[in-house]
Amino acid sequence: MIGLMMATAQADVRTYQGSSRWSTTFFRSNTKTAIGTTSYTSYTLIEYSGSEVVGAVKIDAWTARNPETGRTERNFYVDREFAVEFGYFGIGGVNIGGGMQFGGIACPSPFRGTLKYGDLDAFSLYNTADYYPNSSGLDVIEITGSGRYNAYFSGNVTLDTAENAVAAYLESRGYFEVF
Amino acid sequence: MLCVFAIGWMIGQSKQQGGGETSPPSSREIARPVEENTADKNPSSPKNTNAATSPADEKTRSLVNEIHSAMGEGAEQRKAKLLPILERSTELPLSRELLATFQEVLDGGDLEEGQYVLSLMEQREEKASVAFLVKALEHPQAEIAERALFACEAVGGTVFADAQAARQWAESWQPDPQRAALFAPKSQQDVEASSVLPGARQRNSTQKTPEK
Repeated sequence: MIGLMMATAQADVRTYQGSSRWSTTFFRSNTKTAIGTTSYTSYTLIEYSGSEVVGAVKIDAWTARNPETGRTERNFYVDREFAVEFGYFGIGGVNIGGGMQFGGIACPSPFRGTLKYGDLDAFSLYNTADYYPNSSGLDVIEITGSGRYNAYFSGNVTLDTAENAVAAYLESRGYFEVF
Repeated sequence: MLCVFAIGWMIGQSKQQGGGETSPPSSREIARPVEENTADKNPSSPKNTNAATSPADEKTRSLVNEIHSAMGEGAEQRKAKLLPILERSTELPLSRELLATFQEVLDGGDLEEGQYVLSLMEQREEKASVAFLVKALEHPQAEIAERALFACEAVGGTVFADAQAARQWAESWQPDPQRAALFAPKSQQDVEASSVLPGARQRNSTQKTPEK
């Protein structure tokens, strides 16, 4: 019980900021119809309790022209289905690697990171492909992307607090949350 | 997330804004990685015209030609062709020719294309790429300048109060060799090897994402 309380007290959220690029291939009526490419500024928030990952959220911010209004809009989306799993590898466990999974995406995206003071520091999200089987019944047949992220905030706060801080920061820059 | 991708697709379908087409440079240079001590002076002025041609030079020249070709397309086709070509530049050294071409895209007036170029530069760990981002802080399009600030923050791993703070940071910034290796393009074998690891840890999800 005491150990559990101590673990709770040690809850720590690390936030990584970076950019990711994604290319999506759309497929209709057995014909490749379009490739959409989007770039996001992203924040990956990972909550630890001791050495365990107990929560994770990913926030993507982007700017796009709304084809309906013709206006450029700034949006961000909070992905609370985001999940991450990783392990240490290399001689002496000097590197971190694993997979990340995003809301609505079936396949984990691999990443590799570096250590700083024993914790995940910068990491790179690698190209991924073929999330979906090549079926005429699906619109999206391929998603590829990559990204880089640097740790820029770490603190003994709750995941909600860190999420709100990032959201407030984005809103202060004119971004609006979309659901 | 799919909704977000769909937005990207719609953008790809939407018409290009502004004066998106620029003329290719009148002179062609041989592609060479940018020298560190001159990279931040003026990345868009080619000088290295007599260097020997390497396989990387050839690839760069071919890519630049493809970029110019795509930029000459009509609004409907241009972006769908241009962005995947730009994506391939991550596998090439950052030469003056490549920088000049990126600058053309950045100045082309299309917001998404400009942001995409900044995203590509953000993925690099080089003095020249940071110099490019710092220059973009003064871009006449406010959205581009702001995205450049985001990119500087991503590279620096910190948040800057304003563009001036980012410029000051860039003056003393040095590439980290470990990160340069980390962010360098990897072969597919490397990617697969890194995704299968012992001792993986799983989070406990307690929150639900709203339906999109």
